[in-house]
Amino acid sequence: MNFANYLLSRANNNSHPLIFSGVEQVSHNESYLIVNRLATSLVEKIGMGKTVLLLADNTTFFIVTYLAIIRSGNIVVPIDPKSPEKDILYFADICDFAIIFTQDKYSIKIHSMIPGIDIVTEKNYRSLSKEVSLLPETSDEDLAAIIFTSGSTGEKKGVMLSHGNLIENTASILEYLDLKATDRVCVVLPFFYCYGLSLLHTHIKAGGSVVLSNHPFIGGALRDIDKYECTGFAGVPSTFQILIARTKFLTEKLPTLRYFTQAGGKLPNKFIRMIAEAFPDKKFIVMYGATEATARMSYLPAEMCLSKIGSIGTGIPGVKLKVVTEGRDVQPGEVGEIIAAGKNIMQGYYMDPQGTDEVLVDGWYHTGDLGTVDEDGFIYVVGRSKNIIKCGGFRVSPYEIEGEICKIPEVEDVAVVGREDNILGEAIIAFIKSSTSDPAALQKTVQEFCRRMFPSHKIPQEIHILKELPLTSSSKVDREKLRCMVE
Amino acid sequence: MDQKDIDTIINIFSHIMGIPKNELNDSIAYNSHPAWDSLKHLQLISELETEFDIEFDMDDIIAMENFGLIRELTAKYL
Repeated sequence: MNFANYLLSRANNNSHPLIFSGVEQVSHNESYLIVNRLATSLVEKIGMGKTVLLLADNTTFFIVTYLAIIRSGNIVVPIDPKSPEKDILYFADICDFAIIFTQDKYSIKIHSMIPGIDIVTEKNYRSLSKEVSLLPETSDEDLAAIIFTSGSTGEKKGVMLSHGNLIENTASILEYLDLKATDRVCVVLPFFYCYGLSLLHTHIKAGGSVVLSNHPFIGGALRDIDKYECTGFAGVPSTFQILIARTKFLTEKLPTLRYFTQAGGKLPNKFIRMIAEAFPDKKFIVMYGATEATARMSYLPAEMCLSKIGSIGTGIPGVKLKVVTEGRDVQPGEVGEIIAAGKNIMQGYYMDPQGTDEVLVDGWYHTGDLGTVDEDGFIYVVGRSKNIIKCGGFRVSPYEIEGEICKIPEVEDVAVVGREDNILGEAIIAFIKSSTSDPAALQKTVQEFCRRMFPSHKIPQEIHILKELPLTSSSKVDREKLRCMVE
Repeated sequence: MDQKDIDTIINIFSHIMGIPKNELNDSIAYNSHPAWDSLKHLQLISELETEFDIEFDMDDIIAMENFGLIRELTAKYL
């Protein structure tokens, strides 16, 4: 079945609002009509089975074009509008986009980077609409989306998701969150990110609503929850940490809110406790996932939020999740790798069979996360076997940052590590080896260079200049020692 | 708020957003300038608070959607 068809199966003639975006309100039925007309014109224009770049903020434009691309039997590639130029060029190079959908504010930049490809913007996409003709069917195995994520060595990995993957994960999330048409989620997570997309998918399918909360400061979401009478709110660790540190979140009433969900990394237990105790009448649901698993792999039922604090719970419906070491399941307390199997697991990495074989083994997805289980089978993440920093909910490869900083002439060597941070989840700390006579000037140079080169979540919060980097006995940079220096 | 305070705001904003001072104007806005995202907004607020030894109300932090509003709302606290 086509995933967009699955999502919009009850949208026809449904006047219930689907999208709240500032003063704009769009119903399920209006979305259904726009999506089908746009999909018809896309089929006429580019056929099906082609890759289509979608580069936009969380807007009505994103939602309807995203659904139309999938409905037309083409493959949507949603990317971060703030991606650096080299990443966009890389995506364009390997994906060979047939057409590009973007907002006017990004179109000049995108046109200069990827010339010669038609660009459709929010100003002209409605004029593309055609009277709906018979739209192509797709099978569960056909690709619907490629979502890029950061690999542990800094390279971009295109996660290939089929219509079947997306349907399976959406149905499973709907089941355990028990979402209904009366549900309305306040969205602060970007739609180019699998967690943000899962909010969109589940609320379209449930017949509910999404409130696009686009403020410069996350505190604006608290106002939107009350203003739009939201029932759900989803965040990554830094979302909740910023709310706790910078707003009166814990003393808010939020009377319409039924639940919070949290994924995208480990929120320290003290914050989980604060939220659970501040909102005893609301559910706080900790979840665990990966783009490679479409989005979601496990959840901890809200009633166990405190009794099993720190756990990611157990597999969601339809997902087998276990912790293994040396080819066997771990004993309680023993550490191993978390692996998952289910119809939500990706088809592989785009144009990367070797990378795919490394993580998909005998039908199991190897997450690279280290975990343990307790006597009741609840899983706890204890670390990562891959060198990845989770800053502001984003996966950041230290190697990518190191590779760029190394291009600065005065930098002789560089090592980047993560440090627990009350706001960002993990902060990025860069240690630079240099014999410069003016460390302060070099620090400033590196800071300005990073601001030019990287999106905010990749910019080091601290830069330390050292004469030498500590080394292990095998002469590698001793990252553990560096972490200890800034703890 | 005197000229020195205005210059301080300009310096902090220009430094964090990576926008040259001579290109700054009141209409540079969160939803139209690609460099301005929520993490940079947070950093901007922290630096203004530290520099002026003030603490912004949440509604003012939310309302600071363009450079003009940042100047105007910061002035309320000085």
